[in-house]
Amino acid sequence: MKFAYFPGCALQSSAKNYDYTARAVARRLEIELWEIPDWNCCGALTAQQNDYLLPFALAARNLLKAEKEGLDVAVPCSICYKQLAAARFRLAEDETLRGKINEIIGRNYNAANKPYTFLESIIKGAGIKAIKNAVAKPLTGLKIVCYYGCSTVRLYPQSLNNENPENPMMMDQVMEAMGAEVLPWAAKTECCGAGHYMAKPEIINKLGNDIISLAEAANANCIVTGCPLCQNNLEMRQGEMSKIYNVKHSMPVFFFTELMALAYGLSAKEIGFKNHFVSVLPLLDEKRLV
Amino acid sequence: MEQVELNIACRAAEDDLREIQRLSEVDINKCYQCGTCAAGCPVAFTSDYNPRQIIRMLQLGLVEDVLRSKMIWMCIGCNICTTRCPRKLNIPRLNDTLRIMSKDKGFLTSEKEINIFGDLFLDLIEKKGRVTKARLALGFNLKTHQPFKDLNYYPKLFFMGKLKLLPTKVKGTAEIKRIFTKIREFKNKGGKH
Repeated sequence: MKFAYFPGCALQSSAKNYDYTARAVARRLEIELWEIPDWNCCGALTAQQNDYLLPFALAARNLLKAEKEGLDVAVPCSICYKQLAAARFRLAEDETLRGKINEIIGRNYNAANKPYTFLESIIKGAGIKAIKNAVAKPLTGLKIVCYYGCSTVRLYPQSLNNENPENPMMMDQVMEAMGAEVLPWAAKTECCGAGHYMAKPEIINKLGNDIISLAEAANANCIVTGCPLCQNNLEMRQGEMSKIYNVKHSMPVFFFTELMALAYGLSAKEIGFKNHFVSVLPLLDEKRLV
Repeated sequence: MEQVELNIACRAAEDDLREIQRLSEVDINKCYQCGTCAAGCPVAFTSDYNPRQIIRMLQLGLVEDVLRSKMIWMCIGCNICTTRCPRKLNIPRLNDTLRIMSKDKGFLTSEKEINIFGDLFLDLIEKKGRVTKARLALGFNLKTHQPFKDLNYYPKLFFMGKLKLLPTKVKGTAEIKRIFTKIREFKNKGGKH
Protein backbone atom coordinates (compact mmCIF):
# COMPACT_ATOMS: atom_id res chain seq x y z
CA MET A 1 0.00 0.00 0.00
CA LYS A 2 1.18 3.53 -0.70
CA PHE A 3 0.62 6.65 1.36
CA ALA A 4 1.67 10.24 0.93
CA TYR A 5 3.86 11.23 3.88
CA PHE A 6 3.69 14.55 5.70
CA PRO A 7 6.62 14.77 8.15
CA GLY A 8 5.98 18.29 9.48
CA CYS A 9 8.46 20.75 10.96
CA ALA A 10 9.21 18.94 14.23
CA LEU A 11 10.27 15.71 12.52
CA GLN A 12 12.98 17.64 10.70
CA SER A 13 14.76 18.59 13.89
CA SER A 14 13.70 17.77 17.43
CA ALA A 15 11.89 14.55 16.47
CA LYS A 16 14.19 13.24 13.79
CA ASN A 17 14.27 9.85 15.53
CA TYR A 18 10.55 9.64 14.87
CA ASP A 19 11.02 10.43 11.18
CA TYR A 20 13.83 7.93 10.69
CA THR A 21 12.15 5.08 12.54
CA ALA A 22 8.72 5.75 11.02
CA ARG A 23 10.19 5.40 7.53
CA ALA A 24 12.10 2.28 8.59
CA VAL A 25 8.96 0.70 10.04
CA ALA A 26 6.99 1.50 6.87
CA ARG A 27 9.73 -0.10 4.76
CA ARG A 28 9.70 -3.22 6.90
CA LEU A 29 5.90 -3.47 6.54
CA GLU A 30 6.16 -2.92 2.77
CA ILE A 31 4.24 0.31 2.94
CA GLU A 32 5.49 2.84 0.41
CA LEU A 33 5.76 6.42 1.67
CA TRP A 34 5.81 9.30 -0.83
CA GLU A 35 6.93 12.49 0.91
CA ILE A 36 4.79 15.41 -0.20
CA PRO A 37 7.15 17.62 -2.19
CA ASP A 38 7.85 21.10 -0.85
CA TRP A 39 5.32 20.70 1.97
CA ASN A 40 4.71 23.71 4.20
CA CYS A 41 4.07 24.01 7.92
CA CYS A 42 0.53 23.00 8.87
CA GLY A 43 0.17 26.06 11.09
CA ALA A 44 -0.07 23.92 14.24
CA LEU A 45 -2.37 25.42 16.84
CA THR A 46 -1.25 28.96 16.14
CA ALA A 47 -2.90 29.38 12.75
CA GLN A 48 -6.42 28.60 13.98
CA GLN A 49 -5.88 30.73 17.07
CA ASN A 50 -5.17 33.79 14.95
CA ASP A 51 -7.22 33.50 11.80
CA TYR A 52 -10.27 31.74 10.41
CA LEU A 53 -8.98 31.00 6.92
CA LEU A 54 -5.26 30.45 7.39
CA PRO A 55 -5.35 26.90 8.80
CA PHE A 56 -7.45 25.73 5.86
CA ALA A 57 -5.25 27.40 3.25
CA LEU A 58 -2.05 25.97 4.72
CA ALA A 59 -3.58 22.49 4.90
CA ALA A 60 -5.04 22.66 1.40
CA ARG A 61 -1.70 23.50 -0.20
CA ASN A 62 -0.25 20.30 1.26
CA LEU A 63 -3.20 18.00 0.78
CA LEU A 64 -3.89 18.81 -2.84
CA LYS A 65 -0.46 17.52 -3.85
CA ALA A 66 -1.33 14.15 -2.38
CA GLU A 67 -4.80 14.38 -3.89
CA LYS A 68 -3.31 14.75 -7.38
CA GLU A 69 -1.51 11.44 -6.84
CA GLY A 70 -4.68 9.83 -5.51
CA LEU A 71 -3.05 9.12 -2.17
CA ASP A 72 -4.23 9.29 1.42
CA VAL A 73 -1.74 10.92 3.78
CA ALA A 74 0.17 9.37 6.68
CA VAL A 75 0.94 12.02 9.32
CA PRO A 76 3.29 11.16 12.22
CA CYS A 77 2.86 14.39 14.19
CA SER A 78 -0.37 14.62 16.21
CA ILE A 79 -0.81 18.36 15.81
CA CYS A 80 -0.21 18.21 12.04
CA TYR A 81 -2.72 15.36 11.88
CA LYS A 82 -5.31 17.35 13.81
CA GLN A 83 -4.88 20.36 11.50
CA LEU A 84 -4.89 18.42 8.25
CA ALA A 85 -7.72 16.08 9.19
CA ALA A 86 -9.94 18.81 10.60
CA ALA A 87 -9.30 21.03 7.57
CA ARG A 88 -10.00 18.24 5.10
CA PHE A 89 -13.21 17.26 6.87
CA ARG A 90 -14.52 20.81 6.90
CA LEU A 91 -13.50 21.56 3.31
CA ALA A 92 -15.17 18.37 2.12
CA GLU A 93 -18.54 19.33 3.54
CA ASP A 94 -18.48 23.13 3.09
CA GLU A 95 -18.44 24.05 -0.61
CA THR A 96 -18.46 27.80 0.00
CA LEU A 97 -15.45 27.61 2.26
CA ARG A 98 -13.68 25.33 -0.20
CA GLY A 99 -14.30 27.82 -2.97
CA LYS A 100 -12.88 30.61 -0.84
CA ILE A 101 -9.78 28.61 0.04
CA ASN A 102 -9.22 27.56 -3.58
CA GLU A 103 -9.34 31.23 -4.53
CA ILE A 104 -6.72 32.00 -1.87
CA ILE A 105 -4.33 29.23 -2.90
CA GLY A 106 -5.03 29.67 -6.60
CA ARG A 107 -5.60 25.95 -7.10
CA ASN A 108 -8.39 23.45 -7.21
CA TYR A 109 -8.55 21.28 -4.13
CA ASN A 110 -11.43 18.82 -3.80
CA ALA A 111 -10.85 17.49 -0.27
CA ALA A 112 -11.06 13.95 -1.61
CA ASN A 113 -8.10 12.25 0.05
CA LYS A 114 -7.84 11.52 3.75
CA PRO A 115 -5.13 12.20 6.33
CA TYR A 116 -4.44 9.45 8.88
CA THR A 117 -2.09 9.34 11.85
CA PHE A 118 1.02 7.29 11.09
CA LEU A 119 -0.22 4.76 13.63
CA GLU A 120 -3.53 4.36 11.80
CA SER A 121 -1.81 4.20 8.43
CA ILE A 122 0.34 1.20 9.35
CA ILE A 123 -2.66 -0.62 10.78
CA LYS A 124 -4.61 0.15 7.59
CA GLY A 125 -1.68 -0.53 5.33
CA ALA A 126 -0.39 -3.74 6.89
CA GLY A 127 -2.76 -4.92 9.61
CA ILE A 128 -1.97 -5.99 13.16
CA LYS A 129 -1.10 -9.54 12.08
CA ALA A 130 1.64 -8.44 9.69
CA ILE A 131 2.84 -5.86 12.23
CA LYS A 132 3.24 -8.68 14.75
CA ASN A 133 4.79 -11.17 12.33
CA ALA A 134 7.56 -8.73 11.43
CA VAL A 135 8.92 -8.79 14.98
CA ALA A 136 12.49 -10.15 15.13
CA LYS A 137 13.21 -9.27 18.75
CA PRO A 138 10.21 -9.18 21.15
CA LEU A 139 10.40 -6.32 23.64
CA THR A 140 10.13 -8.54 26.72
CA GLY A 141 10.75 -6.77 29.97
CA LEU A 142 9.40 -3.42 28.85
CA LYS A 143 6.43 -2.27 30.88
CA ILE A 144 4.86 0.36 28.70
CA VAL A 145 2.18 2.97 29.17
CA CYS A 146 0.91 4.41 25.90
CA TYR A 147 0.55 8.18 25.89
CA TYR A 148 -1.70 9.26 23.05
CA GLY A 149 -1.92 12.92 23.98
CA CYS A 150 -5.00 14.97 23.30
CA SER A 151 -4.90 15.71 19.57
CA THR A 152 -5.47 12.52 17.65
CA VAL A 153 -8.50 11.13 19.43
CA ARG A 154 -10.56 14.23 19.99
CA LEU A 155 -11.54 15.73 16.69
CA TYR A 156 -14.79 17.68 16.61
CA PRO A 157 -17.45 17.77 15.33
CA GLN A 158 -16.68 14.24 14.31
CA SER A 159 -14.04 11.82 15.35
CA LEU A 160 -12.46 10.36 12.24
CA ASN A 161 -11.35 7.09 13.78
CA ASN A 162 -13.20 4.72 16.05
CA GLU A 163 -10.97 5.35 19.01
CA ASN A 164 -12.52 6.03 22.41
CA PRO A 165 -11.48 9.61 23.26
CA GLU A 166 -10.81 8.70 26.90
CA ASN A 167 -9.38 5.22 26.39
CA PRO A 168 -7.93 4.69 22.90
CA MET A 169 -6.33 1.33 22.16
CA MET A 170 -4.52 1.41 18.80
CA MET A 171 -1.07 2.10 20.18
CA ASP A 172 -1.63 -0.39 22.99
CA GLN A 173 -2.43 -3.08 20.40
CA VAL A 174 0.66 -2.33 18.36
CA MET A 175 2.99 -2.30 21.36
CA GLU A 176 1.49 -5.54 22.60
CA ALA A 177 2.19 -7.01 19.17
CA MET A 178 5.82 -5.99 19.75
CA GLY A 179 5.91 -8.29 22.75
CA ALA A 180 5.93 -5.63 25.42
CA GLU A 181 3.74 -5.58 28.49
CA VAL A 182 1.27 -2.74 28.06
CA LEU A 183 -0.25 -1.38 31.26
CA PRO A 184 -3.54 0.46 31.75
CA TRP A 185 -3.20 3.94 33.26
CA ALA A 186 -5.08 7.14 33.88
CA ALA A 187 -3.25 9.69 31.73
CA LYS A 188 -3.62 8.20 28.24
CA THR A 189 -5.08 11.34 26.77
CA GLU A 190 -4.24 14.06 29.29
CA CYS A 191 -2.75 17.12 27.66
CA CYS A 192 1.00 17.72 28.03
CA GLY A 193 0.71 21.48 27.64
CA ALA A 194 1.42 21.44 23.91
CA GLY A 195 2.19 24.84 22.42
CA HIS A 196 2.84 26.51 25.75
CA TYR A 197 6.31 24.97 25.89
CA MET A 198 7.94 28.25 25.06
CA ALA A 199 5.72 30.93 26.57
CA LYS A 200 4.54 29.11 29.69
CA PRO A 201 6.99 26.34 30.63
CA GLU A 202 5.52 26.21 34.12
CA ILE A 203 2.41 24.63 32.58
CA ILE A 204 4.55 21.97 30.89
CA ASN A 205 6.27 21.29 34.19
CA LYS A 206 3.04 20.86 36.11
CA LEU A 207 1.21 18.77 33.52
CA GLY A 208 4.31 16.73 32.73
CA ASN A 209 4.87 16.01 36.40
CA ASP A 210 1.25 14.83 36.75
CA ILE A 211 1.54 12.56 33.72
CA ILE A 212 4.89 11.06 34.66
CA SER A 213 3.75 10.51 38.24
CA LEU A 214 0.75 8.58 36.94
CA ALA A 215 3.03 6.47 34.75
CA GLU A 216 5.18 5.71 37.79
CA ALA A 217 2.07 4.86 39.81
CA ALA A 218 1.11 2.35 37.11
CA ASN A 219 4.52 0.71 37.58
CA ALA A 220 5.61 1.46 34.03
CA ASN A 221 9.30 1.55 33.18
CA CYS A 222 8.76 3.73 30.13
CA ILE A 223 6.25 5.93 28.32
CA VAL A 224 5.56 5.53 24.61
CA THR A 225 4.07 8.29 22.51
CA GLY A 226 3.26 9.31 18.93
CA CYS A 227 3.62 13.07 19.08
CA PRO A 228 6.87 15.10 18.82
CA LEU A 229 5.58 17.85 21.08
CA CYS A 230 4.40 15.41 23.75
CA GLN A 231 7.67 13.51 23.60
CA ASN A 232 9.74 16.64 24.05
CA ASN A 233 7.48 18.12 26.71
CA LEU A 234 7.52 14.97 28.79
CA GLU A 235 11.19 14.21 28.40
CA MET A 236 13.25 17.37 28.23
CA ARG A 237 12.21 19.02 31.49
CA GLN A 238 12.19 16.02 33.82
CA GLY A 239 15.17 17.43 35.68
CA GLU A 240 13.39 20.74 36.20
CA MET A 241 10.16 18.97 37.20
CA SER A 242 12.04 16.88 39.72
CA LYS A 243 13.46 19.99 41.35
CA ILE A 244 10.21 21.94 41.43
CA TYR A 245 8.06 19.11 42.73
CA ASN A 246 10.69 17.55 44.93
CA VAL A 247 10.57 14.12 43.31
CA LYS A 248 12.99 12.02 41.33
CA HIS A 249 11.79 11.47 37.77
CA SER A 250 13.80 9.39 35.37
CA MET A 251 11.22 8.03 32.98
CA PRO A 252 12.33 7.16 29.44
CA VAL A 253 9.94 8.50 26.78
CA PHE A 254 10.03 6.74 23.41
CA PHE A 255 8.36 7.29 20.09
CA PHE A 256 6.38 4.14 19.38
CA THR A 257 8.23 3.78 16.06
CA GLU A 258 11.57 3.74 17.89
CA LEU A 259 10.51 0.65 19.81
CA MET A 260 8.93 -0.89 16.72
CA ALA A 261 12.21 -0.39 14.87
CA LEU A 262 14.05 -2.03 17.75
CA ALA A 263 11.66 -5.00 17.68
CA TYR A 264 12.13 -5.21 13.91
CA GLY A 265 15.87 -5.62 14.32
CA LEU A 266 17.35 -2.19 13.80
CA SER A 267 20.40 -1.31 15.90
CA ALA A 268 20.42 1.18 18.75
CA LYS A 269 22.84 3.35 16.80
CA GLU A 270 20.64 3.52 13.72
CA ILE A 271 17.60 4.37 15.78
CA GLY A 272 19.47 7.10 17.62
CA PHE A 273 18.70 6.06 21.18
CA LYS A 274 21.42 8.44 22.34
CA ASN A 275 19.24 11.38 21.32
CA HIS A 276 17.16 11.32 24.47
CA PHE A 277 17.29 13.75 27.36
CA VAL A 278 16.40 11.00 29.80
CA SER A 279 18.76 8.21 28.92
CA VAL A 280 16.95 5.15 27.55
CA LEU A 281 19.98 2.90 27.19
CA PRO A 282 20.19 1.75 30.85
CA LEU A 283 16.63 0.36 30.64
CA LEU A 284 17.16 -1.28 27.24
CA ASP A 285 20.51 -2.65 28.38
CA GLU A 286 19.01 -4.07 31.57
CA LYS A 287 16.32 -5.88 29.57
CA ARG A 288 18.99 -7.09 27.12
CA LEU A 289 17.32 -5.35 24.19
CA VAL A 290 20.48 -3.64 22.91
CA MET B 1 -16.40 45.14 44.13
CA GLU B 2 -17.68 46.57 40.88
CA GLN B 3 -21.43 46.49 40.41
CA VAL B 4 -22.83 45.42 37.08
CA GLU B 5 -26.38 45.96 35.90
CA LEU B 6 -26.94 42.55 34.36
CA ASN B 7 -30.08 43.34 32.37
CA ILE B 8 -28.30 46.28 30.73
CA ALA B 9 -25.17 44.21 30.16
CA CYS B 10 -27.16 41.41 28.54
CA ARG B 11 -29.01 43.71 26.16
CA ALA B 12 -25.91 45.69 25.21
CA ALA B 13 -24.02 42.52 24.42
CA GLU B 14 -26.67 40.96 22.16
CA ASP B 15 -24.92 41.86 18.89
CA ASP B 16 -21.51 40.74 20.11
CA LEU B 17 -22.91 37.47 21.36
CA ARG B 18 -24.66 36.82 18.08
CA GLU B 19 -21.39 37.43 16.25
CA ILE B 20 -19.49 35.14 18.63
CA GLN B 21 -22.02 32.39 18.08
CA ARG B 22 -21.93 32.81 14.32
CA LEU B 23 -18.15 32.71 14.06
CA SER B 24 -17.53 29.95 16.59
CA GLU B 25 -20.67 27.92 15.84
CA VAL B 26 -21.00 27.37 19.60
CA ASP B 27 -24.38 28.03 21.20
CA ILE B 28 -23.51 29.14 24.72
CA ASN B 29 -27.15 29.06 25.74
CA LYS B 30 -26.97 25.28 25.71
CA CYS B 31 -24.66 25.33 28.73
CA TYR B 32 -26.32 24.57 32.04
CA GLN B 33 -23.17 25.12 34.11
CA CYS B 34 -22.45 21.58 35.22
CA GLY B 35 -18.75 22.42 35.61
CA THR B 36 -17.36 19.20 34.10
CA CYS B 37 -15.31 21.25 31.65
CA ALA B 38 -13.66 23.16 34.46
CA ALA B 39 -12.83 19.96 36.30
CA GLY B 40 -10.97 18.49 33.33
CA CYS B 41 -9.31 21.63 31.99
CA PRO B 42 -5.51 21.26 32.20
CA VAL B 43 -4.86 24.99 32.43
CA ALA B 44 -7.67 26.04 34.75
CA PHE B 45 -5.22 25.90 37.64
CA THR B 46 -3.21 28.79 36.28
CA SER B 47 -5.96 30.84 34.73
CA ASP B 48 -8.14 33.70 35.96
CA TYR B 49 -11.38 32.01 34.92
CA ASN B 50 -12.19 28.41 34.11
CA PRO B 51 -14.21 27.40 31.01
CA ARG B 52 -17.50 27.20 32.91
CA GLN B 53 -17.04 30.75 34.19
CA ILE B 54 -16.17 32.06 30.73
CA ILE B 55 -19.42 30.69 29.35
CA ARG B 56 -21.38 32.02 32.32
CA MET B 57 -19.91 35.47 31.82
CA LEU B 58 -20.92 35.38 28.17
CA GLN B 59 -24.42 34.25 29.11
CA LEU B 60 -24.61 37.28 31.39
CA GLY B 61 -23.41 39.61 28.65
CA LEU B 62 -20.03 40.37 30.21
CA VAL B 63 -18.29 40.17 26.83
CA GLU B 64 -15.53 42.68 27.45
CA ASP B 65 -14.47 40.93 30.65
CA VAL B 66 -14.15 37.72 28.71
CA LEU B 67 -12.21 39.36 25.88
CA ARG B 68 -9.77 40.75 28.44
CA SER B 69 -9.38 37.47 30.32
CA LYS B 70 -6.32 35.25 30.60
CA MET B 71 -8.30 32.08 30.00
CA ILE B 72 -8.95 32.61 26.33
CA TRP B 73 -5.19 32.74 25.77
CA MET B 74 -4.33 29.84 28.02
CA CYS B 75 -6.64 27.38 26.27
CA ILE B 76 -4.50 24.69 24.65
CA GLY B 77 -7.23 23.28 22.44
CA CYS B 78 -7.05 19.83 23.97
CA ASN B 79 -10.85 19.35 23.79
CA ILE B 80 -11.12 17.49 27.10
CA CYS B 81 -13.96 19.88 27.91
CA THR B 82 -15.82 19.11 24.66
CA THR B 83 -15.34 15.37 25.14
CA ARG B 84 -16.92 15.47 28.57
CA CYS B 85 -19.50 18.24 28.03
CA PRO B 86 -23.04 16.81 28.11
CA ARG B 87 -24.02 19.37 25.44
CA LYS B 88 -20.83 18.83 23.39
CA LEU B 89 -19.90 22.50 23.33
CA ASN B 90 -16.67 23.06 21.43
CA ILE B 91 -15.02 25.40 23.92
CA PRO B 92 -11.61 25.58 22.20
CA ARG B 93 -13.41 26.74 19.07
CA LEU B 94 -15.17 29.37 21.17
CA ASN B 95 -11.82 30.45 22.61
CA ASP B 96 -10.26 30.74 19.14
CA THR B 97 -13.05 33.13 18.16
CA LEU B 98 -12.70 35.11 21.40
CA ARG B 99 -8.93 35.38 20.89
CA ILE B 100 -9.29 36.69 17.36
CA MET B 101 -12.00 39.11 18.47
CA SER B 102 -9.92 40.28 21.41
CA LYS B 103 -6.92 40.92 19.20
CA ASP B 104 -9.05 42.71 16.60
CA LYS B 105 -10.42 45.01 19.27
CA GLY B 106 -6.89 45.76 20.38
CA PHE B 107 -7.28 44.63 23.97
CA LEU B 108 -3.86 44.37 25.56
CA THR B 109 -3.45 40.90 26.82
CA SER B 110 -1.78 40.04 30.06
CA GLU B 111 -0.46 36.98 28.30
CA LYS B 112 1.84 38.92 26.02
CA GLU B 113 4.29 36.03 25.71
CA ILE B 114 1.67 33.75 24.19
CA ASN B 115 0.89 36.40 21.63
CA ILE B 116 4.57 37.03 20.86
CA PHE B 117 5.10 33.31 20.35
CA GLY B 118 2.07 33.09 18.06
CA ASP B 119 3.11 36.08 15.96
CA LEU B 120 6.66 34.78 15.60
CA PHE B 121 5.40 31.36 14.57
CA LEU B 122 3.17 32.77 11.85
CA ASP B 123 5.88 35.15 10.71
CA LEU B 124 8.25 32.23 10.18
CA ILE B 125 5.64 30.38 8.17
CA GLU B 126 5.03 33.43 6.01
CA LYS B 127 8.72 33.99 5.33
CA LYS B 128 10.06 30.45 5.14
CA GLY B 129 7.11 28.12 4.85
CA ARG B 130 8.42 25.99 7.72
CA VAL B 131 9.24 26.61 11.35
CA THR B 132 12.47 25.67 13.06
CA LYS B 133 12.51 25.60 16.84
CA ALA B 134 15.91 27.29 16.86
CA ARG B 135 14.70 30.34 15.01
CA LEU B 136 11.54 30.42 17.10
CA ALA B 137 13.46 30.20 20.37
CA LEU B 138 15.94 32.84 19.28
CA GLY B 139 13.22 35.26 18.28
CA PHE B 140 11.18 34.55 21.38
CA ASN B 141 14.05 35.02 23.80
CA LEU B 142 14.99 38.31 22.16
CA LYS B 143 11.47 39.71 22.00
CA THR B 144 10.69 38.81 25.61
CA HIS B 145 14.05 40.09 26.82
CA GLN B 146 15.05 36.74 28.22
CA PRO B 147 18.26 35.98 26.30
CA PHE B 148 19.24 33.17 28.61
CA LYS B 149 15.92 31.38 28.85
CA ASP B 150 16.28 27.61 28.48
CA LEU B 151 19.86 28.17 27.37
CA ASN B 152 20.92 25.16 29.43
CA TYR B 153 19.06 22.84 27.04
CA TYR B 154 20.55 24.13 23.80
CA PRO B 155 24.03 22.55 23.87
CA LYS B 156 22.52 19.10 24.42
CA LEU B 157 19.88 19.71 21.76
CA PHE B 158 22.60 20.78 19.37
CA PHE B 159 24.78 17.73 19.94
CA MET B 160 21.81 15.44 19.52
CA GLY B 161 21.26 17.04 16.14
CA LYS B 162 17.89 18.30 17.28
CA LEU B 163 18.64 21.95 16.72
CA LYS B 164 18.65 23.11 13.14
CA LEU B 165 20.56 26.36 13.08
CA LEU B 166 20.12 26.93 9.37
CA PRO B 167 16.42 27.32 8.69
CA THR B 168 14.91 25.24 5.90
CA LYS B 169 13.06 27.18 3.30
CA VAL B 170 10.22 25.96 1.19
CA LYS B 171 10.75 26.49 -2.56
CA GLY B 172 7.21 27.70 -3.00
CA THR B 173 7.56 30.69 -0.67
CA ALA B 174 5.71 32.78 -3.24
CA GLU B 175 2.71 30.48 -2.85
CA ILE B 176 2.84 30.82 0.93
CA LYS B 177 3.18 34.59 0.65
CA ARG B 178 0.15 34.60 -1.62
CA ILE B 179 -1.89 32.83 1.06
CA PHE B 180 -1.05 35.44 3.67
CA THR B 181 -1.52 38.36 1.27
CA LYS B 182 -4.88 37.15 0.02
CA ILE B 183 -6.10 36.62 3.57
CA ARG B 184 -5.02 40.15 4.52
CA GLU B 185 -6.78 41.54 1.45
CA PHE B 186 -9.91 39.68 2.43
CA LYS B 187 -9.75 41.12 5.93
CA ASN B 188 -9.04 44.65 4.73
CA LYS B 189 -12.02 44.56 2.42
CA GLY B 190 -14.06 43.85 5.53
CA GLY B 191 -14.67 40.29 4.45
CA LYS B 192 -17.05 38.42 6.70
CA HIS B 193 -16.66 34.72 7.50
